[in-house]
Amino acid sequence: MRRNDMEKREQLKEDKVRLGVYVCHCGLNIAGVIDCDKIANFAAKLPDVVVARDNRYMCADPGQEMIKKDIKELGLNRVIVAACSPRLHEPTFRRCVKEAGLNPYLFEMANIREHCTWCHSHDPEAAFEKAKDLIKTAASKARYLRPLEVMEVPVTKRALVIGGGVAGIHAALDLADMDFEVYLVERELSIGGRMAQLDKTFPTLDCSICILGPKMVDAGRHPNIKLLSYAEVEKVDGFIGNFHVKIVKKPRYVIEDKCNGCGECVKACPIDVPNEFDEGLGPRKAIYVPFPQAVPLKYAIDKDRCIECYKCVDACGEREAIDLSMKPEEIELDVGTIVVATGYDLFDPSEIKEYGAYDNVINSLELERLINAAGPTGGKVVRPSDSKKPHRVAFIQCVGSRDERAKIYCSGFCCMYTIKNAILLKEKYSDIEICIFYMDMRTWFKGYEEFYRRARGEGITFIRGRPAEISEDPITGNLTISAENTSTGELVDLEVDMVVLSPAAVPRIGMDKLGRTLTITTDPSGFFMESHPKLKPIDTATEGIFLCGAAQGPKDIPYSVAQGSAAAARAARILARGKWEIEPIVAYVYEERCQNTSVKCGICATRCPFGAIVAELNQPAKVISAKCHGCGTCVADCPTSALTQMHFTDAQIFSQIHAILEEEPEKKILGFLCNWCSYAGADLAGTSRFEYPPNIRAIRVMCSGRVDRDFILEAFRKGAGMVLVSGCRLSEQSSDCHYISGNRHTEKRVKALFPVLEKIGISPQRLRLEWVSAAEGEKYAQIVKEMAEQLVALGSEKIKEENAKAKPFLDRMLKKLAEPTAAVPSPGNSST
Amino acid sequence: MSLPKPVLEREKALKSLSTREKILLCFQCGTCVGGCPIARAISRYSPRKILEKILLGDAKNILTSDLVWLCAYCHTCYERCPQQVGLSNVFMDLKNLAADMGNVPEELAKEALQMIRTGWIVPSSPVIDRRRVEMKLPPIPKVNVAEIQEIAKATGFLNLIPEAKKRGGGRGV
Repeated sequence: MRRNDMEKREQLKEDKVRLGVYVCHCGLNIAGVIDCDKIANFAAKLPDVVVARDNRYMCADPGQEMIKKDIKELGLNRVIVAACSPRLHEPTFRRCVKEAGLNPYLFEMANIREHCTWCHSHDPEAAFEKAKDLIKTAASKARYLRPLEVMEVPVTKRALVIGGGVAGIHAALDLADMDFEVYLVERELSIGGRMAQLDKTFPTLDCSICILGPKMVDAGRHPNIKLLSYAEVEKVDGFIGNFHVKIVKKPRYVIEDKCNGCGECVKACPIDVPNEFDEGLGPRKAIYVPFPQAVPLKYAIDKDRCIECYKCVDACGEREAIDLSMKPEEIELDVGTIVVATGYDLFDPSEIKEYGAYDNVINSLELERLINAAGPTGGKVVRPSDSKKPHRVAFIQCVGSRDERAKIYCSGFCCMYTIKNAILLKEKYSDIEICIFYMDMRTWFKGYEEFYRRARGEGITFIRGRPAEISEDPITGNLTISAENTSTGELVDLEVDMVVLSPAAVPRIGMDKLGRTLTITTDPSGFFMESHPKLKPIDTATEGIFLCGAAQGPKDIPYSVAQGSAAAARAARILARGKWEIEPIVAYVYEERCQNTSVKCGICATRCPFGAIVAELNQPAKVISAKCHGCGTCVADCPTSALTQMHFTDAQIFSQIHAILEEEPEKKILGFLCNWCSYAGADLAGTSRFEYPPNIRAIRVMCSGRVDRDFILEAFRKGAGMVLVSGCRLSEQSSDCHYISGNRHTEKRVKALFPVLEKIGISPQRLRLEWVSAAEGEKYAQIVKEMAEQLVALGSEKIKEENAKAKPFLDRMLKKLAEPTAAVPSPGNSST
Repeated sequence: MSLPKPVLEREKALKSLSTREKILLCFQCGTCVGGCPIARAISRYSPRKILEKILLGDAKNILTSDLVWLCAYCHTCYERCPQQVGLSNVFMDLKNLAADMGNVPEELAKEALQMIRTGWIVPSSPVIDRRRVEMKLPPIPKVNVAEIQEIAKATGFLNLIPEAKKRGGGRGV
């Protein structure tokens, strides 16, 4: 496919560029400020322009028909529409030119509405000049455009679900019901996850295992689901539609096919150890299932505890299901999509020192096991120090949640389960006294506030105040909680028999390793990060991998189930198609220029957060197109310019820089804006009609990470007054970058440039690095205003002087670009 | 209470506080009060309420009262605060502001004056000297009082103590 592309490009080299320019009035939105007819006349005189027309609404059918007709009749091979933002109508016009037989990537847009008439309406003359520049810039880039083919990859119609909790079970069941084969991988012996440990669920007080059990059995029996329990994902290669996964199945020392779950072996085993499933509160044997409803109901031997007395082997007898020589088993799978549902752990409350490590201070999950009829005490709630029933129980909320020292976030479901546990205790023991210490009660979902009301109605005491400390009476084992009741302002020293802590829900152990294996990122709290917090809450930054349940952040059961089904739907969207299209704006390597063949370089591979570039020793770097998201960060940081990004090639961007700075460069501000945030922020400034100085000219790149050092230097070499580089919001803790880390590399690169500029005599304020989100139109306008003021303050003469002084240095630094079209290679390089 | 005015006042009162941004984070959980030994002894003292009053723009009343001077710097709240407001720093700030406004408790001013005069908050006495000899402890090292006075003058510390100011900026104290 790649070769075909290249051949097509070679062919096109022979063709002459035939450009059509179409200026949209957009009613009066554009035509009310500038004379569109005059603009079209200007465009008609630009080199290679065959036709230039204007129309009231280019996006309406008559406008589109006009373009199609011209393509056919005049043989246009490039089309420019000067109208609104490409973020709005680029897809419309790409479709339009495609329908007329032109490759959609031979279309370019000039944004003369959001970036011009809407924000410079008070200065129509300057707006007119800017519109001319914008069209000239688009025409300049258009000459270097090359046809690109949308890439198609095949899709393996199988899915992998990692994690068999309630979210993973639902994702697997939904996919299986849609007739896709599913591998459900579970790290523990049984599926079921946290929900299997719970007693009742809020706010309906359904028995947790009673409603989950049937789903577990369904998942275990479904003909389309292959359950791999006691197994972990070791390695993942490939890309959307084509993941190759290595799974390691830990040895159970019991042959699954032969074990019928009769449990005779358990009776024979002499070893008692704490059962992890019961949070260590009850015993299990060395040969065991974690709980009676386990799926699969296959026993396993805890080899660390087993004394190899072989009594279980005798008990198993003729079935011969026990094999103490079993080894870990490697399984390799090919799947098209992956759903990650790895759940959460509880924060270790002993990290909050002032709450002490006392016998009778337990955590909420321990209480779930104590209060559960199938638990170690048969549902009798007793305190650990003396196995006596507690009469006074206090609950403490936000232990490690909403705490700068531990986890800053709210864990979300603790308020509700504490209310539930308090109600259950009250139901069980009517004479029990219960007090809940809380900071805020968060009961935000359907039926939850009603449940809180019920708890208040049942006489449970709520004290708004975060306890400062717990102290223990060593003789009675009773505990005293010291707190302020913030509602009354009084100090409370409350003596109770038992304290139940509600620890934060934290990322599951090993999540960071799994994240690296899958090349999906975690957010500052350590949970897996979604692709977009509002509109892609299930997707990850790696295409074809989806999230559900508490792996993405603490969630209660209905939310987890909904996300499980949502993840199944997102995965099925790919699986059902059988093939997947990938935008061809990917990175591309000129193998002959790549220095990795002779020296150990591989910088590009370290820049890619998606693992889309492989730089093996003595081999030129290789781009895995299906994994590439097209940010261009690798391209900008390649020391030998051996990389380029399709549709955003060096040649194309240099041509834009040159066009913008052709006339009076010292009076202009050249901006490089990332598509997702800063360009959108500039659009918003226009939409909001914020007026700002018209001497800014923006070049759109997909990510600020694409902004090569050479682009900035070239701008100054060509005499630019000011240069702005702007990307998505970035702080030390977090980055809004749509390509995970592009703007971090931008920051490093641009900051390193300031001392260079200073050395060659360019005032540092002439380069500015900013982070502007799509919602910060006002900030964008303000930045441009400030820069324009600085430009005036410096004065054209001083700028010209600085530029003249710096030029010899810049010429030398940019020697390879002296003749950009010839020296800067590009698959889209034109003969012009 | 109408909101706009207190908010403006809050801005003004907080502007001179270096710990301003931290104070804004306080979500009034009461952990500081629950573990505060002073609050246990003096019921009208509540770090939480002091912060709330500041947040609502009532800093002036706090700064002119004796409340800010009650903190004993045990740092218990500093350690336990889930928002890590850093209350010890806040109280240091508040004490400085209060002193700037002329609100320094008499006892404290006396101690400061003592230090400027002798180099010691608790100066030595013949009784103490005799005891030290009996206990075979070395004599208390001499303090360069002139140096301390110089520092007190240069840092403006003298201006904070009404008594010292009255006596002519450190000369002859």
